[in-house]
Formats: sequence, structure tokens, C-alpha cells
Amino acid sequence: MLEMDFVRVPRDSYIFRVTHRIMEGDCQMEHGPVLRQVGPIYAMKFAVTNGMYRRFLKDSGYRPRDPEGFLRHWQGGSFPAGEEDLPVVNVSREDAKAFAAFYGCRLPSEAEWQYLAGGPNKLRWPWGNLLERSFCNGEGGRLQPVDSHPEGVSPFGLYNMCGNCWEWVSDEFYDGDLQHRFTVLKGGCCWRGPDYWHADGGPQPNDSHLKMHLIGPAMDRCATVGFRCVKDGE
Amino acid sequence: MAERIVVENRALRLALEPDGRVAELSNIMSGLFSNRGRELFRLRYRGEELAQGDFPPPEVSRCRDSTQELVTLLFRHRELPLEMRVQLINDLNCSISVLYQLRDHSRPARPAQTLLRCPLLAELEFSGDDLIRLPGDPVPGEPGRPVLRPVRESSVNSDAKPPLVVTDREDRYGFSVLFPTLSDLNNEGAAQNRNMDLCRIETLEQLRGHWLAAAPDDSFADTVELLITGLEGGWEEAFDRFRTRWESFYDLSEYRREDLGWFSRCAVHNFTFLFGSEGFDLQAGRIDPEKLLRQGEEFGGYDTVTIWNQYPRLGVDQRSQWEFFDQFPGGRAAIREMAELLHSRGVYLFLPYIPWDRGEEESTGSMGDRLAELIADTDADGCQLDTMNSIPESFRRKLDRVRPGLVFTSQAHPAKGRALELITTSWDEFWRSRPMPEADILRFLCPRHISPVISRWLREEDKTLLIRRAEFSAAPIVIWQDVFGRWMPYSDAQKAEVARWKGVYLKYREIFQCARPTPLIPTGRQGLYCNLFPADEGSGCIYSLYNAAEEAAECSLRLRRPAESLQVILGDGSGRLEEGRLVAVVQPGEVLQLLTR
Repeated sequence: MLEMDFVRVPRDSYIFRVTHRIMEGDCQMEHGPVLRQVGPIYAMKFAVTNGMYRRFLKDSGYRPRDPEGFLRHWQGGSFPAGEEDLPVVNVSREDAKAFAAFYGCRLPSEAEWQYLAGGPNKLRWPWGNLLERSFCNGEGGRLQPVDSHPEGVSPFGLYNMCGNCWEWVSDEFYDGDLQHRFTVLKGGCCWRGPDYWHADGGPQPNDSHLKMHLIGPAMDRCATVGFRCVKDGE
Repeated sequence: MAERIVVENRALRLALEPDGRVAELSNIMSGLFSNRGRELFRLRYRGEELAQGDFPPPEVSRCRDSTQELVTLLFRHRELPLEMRVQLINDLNCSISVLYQLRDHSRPARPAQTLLRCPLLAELEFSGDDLIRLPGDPVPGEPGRPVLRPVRESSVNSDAKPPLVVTDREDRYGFSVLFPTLSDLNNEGAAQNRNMDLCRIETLEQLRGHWLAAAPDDSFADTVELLITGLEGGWEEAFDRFRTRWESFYDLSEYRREDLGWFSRCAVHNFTFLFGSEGFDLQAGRIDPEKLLRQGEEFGGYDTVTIWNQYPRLGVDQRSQWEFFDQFPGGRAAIREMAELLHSRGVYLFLPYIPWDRGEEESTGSMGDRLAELIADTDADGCQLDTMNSIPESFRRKLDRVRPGLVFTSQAHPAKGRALELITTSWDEFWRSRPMPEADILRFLCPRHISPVISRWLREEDKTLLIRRAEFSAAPIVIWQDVFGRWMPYSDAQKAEVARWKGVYLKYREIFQCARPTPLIPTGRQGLYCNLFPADEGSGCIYSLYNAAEEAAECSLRLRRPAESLQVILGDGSGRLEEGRLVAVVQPGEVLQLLTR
């Protein structure tokens, strides 16, 4: 079973910018370009797994205030056999933040996440500037172990920054006068809705994001959304 | 005294006065100074027109990282709740993005129409005597009829949005301006990315007079972006850069599959309506592939045959497309025998899939299973997807399991994105009866996606133009003579011309199917058009010329690749090399192809 493994990322600054497909409703936030500082931080090499999350529950005693939909793919308090190294999904941002805090970590900001995925040369995809679907889990709707696709690691050696599961980031927004609450998801996932009007899915470029309206834990916990953590370094 | 703001790389210099006015946007490779004294923007906001000068000089900040330099100019209006942030993003190579981000921080927020004009863009020039290619209609033909045909009329399905290109008359130095957008929706009430409006500009008047409708909000959304590149290789370079950017969003690995490669070695495709005598013996009541192939010999031989055995009969009763395969004379066994005979002659068989014939009990999953069964039963080589412009992922997987090497093709080009990755061929089908001159942009944007030309309703005289179209853009052709019961044959001369084209196409296939072809390079002559096919390994370059005029036309083109020899490979015109130029004479209504080495 995989354990948490961190990669040190030295301090740097880079010009952060996001571009993405815009559907109706817009995306009311800063997309850059803007200079952002990153690091030094330690970043998880893999997304948090079912196995890691089960240990967290055991060690911390965490129970979400609203459990509806929490780990809905688990049965009897644990994940299905053989799925210990799949990314944990069906967790809300709060569930993710609780995990991170327990281990002295936090969720990465979007700018940090993007730097971790693209490196100082701001690659379009974790592995380079051309889309290579075989380098990630971007189709079919089935999660794969978080250490799959070593050929597709990011310049810092982080796995599955593209595909497999979307990842939560720490940014959270209220637009207008508390009109909406939303965050963004990064990296794409293994599922792509078949129609034009479905939300984006499949592999997504590093500099893209998907606006995600937040409404409540049951709705916000998705079978395609997981997370990884970072912790501040020296 | 405040200094000018200068952003410069190896190709461009953009200099701004301290108040933000453009002092210069020049292609420094050319040595010319261009675009002096332009405004960056003008606005119309709640009934008031605002010049750039109505804003105080901008706050300027500058930073860089290992790949880019960023200069940010923030214009804050003194009285109105309006801010314009102009971001200059230098790629430290040959491009500068000018990104406009408009913010309306009115309270309470009530998005209002705000019109943006970019005078730098509207008045963009290189030398003052320029060739201008507009993004919505790069090569003007008759009004409303673009010569460089967009992939589809519906922009939702296409990401083929070429740049504005402004060059000198020699088509060498100048600028390209791409309007990057990952979006298709064009809602005037939206705040983000209004580039779709710029992508659609078709006339010089629209460019010069543009006012872009936006509805900014409290965030600095990307309103408009101009990705400006300094050119030294004219339209060819601009198109190639556009293609490179387009390709970075695609995984074209299906196109590299060896088992699918056979389709690119085909030149003449047949489409046969099985209820007629073209490929069916009505007396004996059986499929007659021998007869079909004999007819094909007059066209130089069919490389593929697509049989059509249901529409327009489908729907008379409740039988499905699957039952039509069972109950057609001879059933699936007869089709399998046909496949075996065709294979023995080196000919491939396509079967139809009718996406719209979906029974109430059928699902995407069951349809894919039935199709896989059909292909397994008949050993067909390809599947014609009819009106589908995308397929479920599962279809590819299911068919790979039963028949590796099965090629998908569709009646129209696939939609952008994943569909274009999975459906590796499609027809270049069009409905206009006078199809020349015209070039299909996908043929040049994604040359691995082979698209045979076809227009089903072309009459005898139009069919010659159909052949010219195939020749001009170096594409295969679909021979469809029985249009669901209407017999529309080719003449003997036309058949001979198709055969001749097949010979040329296959002989020079590797050059015609090169990775970096360019549509419609400027010829400097009205009514004369030229597509360019440079061999990947540099062994030669084919200039494919078409003369739409009624008289012979002579042109003198700058050689796009160094050459010492010239050979006419198709057509009755002539050509010669002359001091670094290619001089050609093309007969009216003819295609002339010249190979230089």
C-alpha cells in the first residue's frame, strides 16, 4: 500500500495564467497573467489514496458534519478490496482540508498546483507540450492507482497531475455580493461526459481549470474529484 | 521624464509612450517601422465614448520568469468605475500577446454593454501596401463564399480559427494576429473572452470598424486577446504556427496506427447503392461485386467500396439496420463473400452504420455491440458513420477487439476535440454545385486526416470541377453515381481524368500527404490559386495551381523551397525556374501541378 511521499520544490516565481473553455456563466476571478511566488514547499508525489484516507479516519477520528455522500464508494467503512491505491474521491473540500490539517499540510493554491504540474517552463501538459493520452488516465471512467503512468509525471516527478481524478485546490471565491460560492478543479479526470454541454472532462492542460460551484457536501463530493496536499518548507 | 515602455524579442518591438499610446509596433526582422501613433483601446460605456487619452497614464509594472516577460498597464478612469488592464506578454521569441482585461466595479453590479475597440488591431499595417488575410475569410472569393472553406458552418464544432495575416506584397515579412479562444459560445452578455467576434471578421470594413460587445464585471476577465507574431515567411509561416498551436491540444496517435494506415494509400473510393444494378444483379437477385469492380477499372480501379443497403428503404416497417443486413439477398454471408472477393483484388470494404436508426430498446452500448457483431460477421474493413460527427469511446474499443485495422469515416468532418482524434477519415462533402476554387481547411490543418472529396448532386458538367477540386487540394475522390436511385454517371473523359489523377496522387503520395502543407499561398494574380505541398524530408515541393479565370494565366511566385529543377506532374500548362522564382502558365479551368527539387 502506498504511503504519503513528498517532493521538495524550491522557491521560485512564475507568471501564472489560466485559460479555459468558457461556458455560460463566466468565471469571476483572477486568471492572470500575474507573478506568483511558489515554495519552498513539499508536494505529495501522489494524490491521497483510499488507503491513506482510511488511516486518517482511524487516527484522527474525523467524521464530517454532514456525512451525506461521504466516501459513497466505500462499503462498511472501508474501500472495496484492491482499491487501496486508487485516489480517494467522494470527499468534499472540507474533508480534504481536514486530512491535510491533521498531517500538518494544506491544499495547494491553484497557482501552486499549476506550477507543480508544469514546472518552471510552464509545460502545457505535465510531460510536455503535446497531448499524449497514453501518458494519463483520461478515458473510460475508471480510476487507476495513483502511481500509474510514470511516463506522464510532472517536471517535479508528481504523478497523475493530468487525468485520473480532478484535484481540489485551496482557492475559494465569492463573486459579487456573496452571490455565488465556487472553487476550481485542476487536471481533468478519467471521465468525459459525451455531450458538448457536459462539463469538461478527460485530460486537461495544466493551465486550464473548471469552475466548480459549491453548494453542499453531498453535491460537492464527486466520484472523479480527489486531492493532494502540500506543506510549507524552509 | 517618464520613459517609453518597450517590449521586444527577436521578431517584434512594441513601444508605448508613457501615456500608453502605441509609439511603434514593428517587425524588427524587416527593418521597417510600423504602426506609429496608435491608440491601444477606445471604449463606449453607458452612452459615453472614451478615448485612451481620457484615462490618466497607466500604472506600469514589469516582471519575467524563465519563459515570458510580462508588462502590465493599468488604466483607471478618474470618475467612472471602469478599469482597463492591458497585459503585454512577451514569449521572448517572436510573439507578443496584447491581452485586454476590462473591469467594471459598479455597485450594485449590473453588467452593461461596453463596447471595446482596439485601434492597434483595426489599423494594423506592415508596410502600407499590404496583403491582408482576414480570419473569417482569408482568401476572398465571391461575396459570402469563402475560398478557404471553414471546417463546418457551426463554430461550436470547429476550432479551425485562422489568424489575421498582414504581410508585404512578396508575402514574406509582416504580422500574424491570432485570436486565441477555447470557447465557442458568443454571448454578448458574457464578460470573458470576446475573441469569437474577432475570429469571424470577414471584411476589411469589419476589421477597421470593429466594436466588440462585452459586459465586464468586477473581475479582470480576459476580454480580448491579440497574439501577435512577427513573420518572415508570410502566410505559410502564419498558417504553420496556427497549425502547431492547434495540434498541441490533440493526441493524434490514432493517425499513427499502422493498422489504419492502409486508408492513406487509397485514391478512388466507390459508394454504391445496393438497390441498383451498379453492384447488384437484379435478374439473379444477388450482389455482383465483379461487375462493380469492372466499372471501377475505368476510374483507374476502386480502392474501397462502400455498400449502402438500407436508406431510403429503412422505416417502411419496423425492421432495423441490423435486420437489413440479415435479410438483404444472401444475408451477411453474401457480404462476407463480397469482402473476400474484394480483398483478393486488393480492395477494401466499408459498411454503413446508421446512427439515427436507434430502436426504443437500443442503447449506446447495444448499438456498439451490434456493430461489432456485424463487422465480425462480414470481415469488413471500415465503417461509414453516416451523419455522426462523433463516436462513443466504446465503439473504438469494441471494434478493435473484433477487427484490428477497422477505419472509421463519416459523411462530414468530425467535431473538434476527441471526435477528430477517433474518427481518422471523413468525406470532404459539400453541397454547392460549383466547387472551385475552394480548399477545405481541415485538409491542411490536419493532413493526416484523409478526406476524399464528394458532392453527391453534381451534374455532368459539375463533375469535372469535382475532379479539379480533388486534384487542386491533392485529395482522394469518392465515385458516387447512384444517389439512392438517381443515376448520375461520369462521362468517359471524366473517368479517364480520375484514373490519371489516381496515378499522379499515388506516385507522389508521400509529398501530397506531407505534414506541413499550406493552402492558398498568394499568387499575386486574381483568379489564380496555389496550394503548397513541401515534402517532409525536403526532397521536393509540389505547387498545385488552379486557374479560375477564362483565359490562360501566368504567374511568378517566390520559390518557397530552394530548387534546381522543375517538372510538370499534372496538367497541360508549363512552368520554369527563373532567378529564384517559379514562373507558370496555367490554362483556364485547369489544375497544373509542378514539382520542384
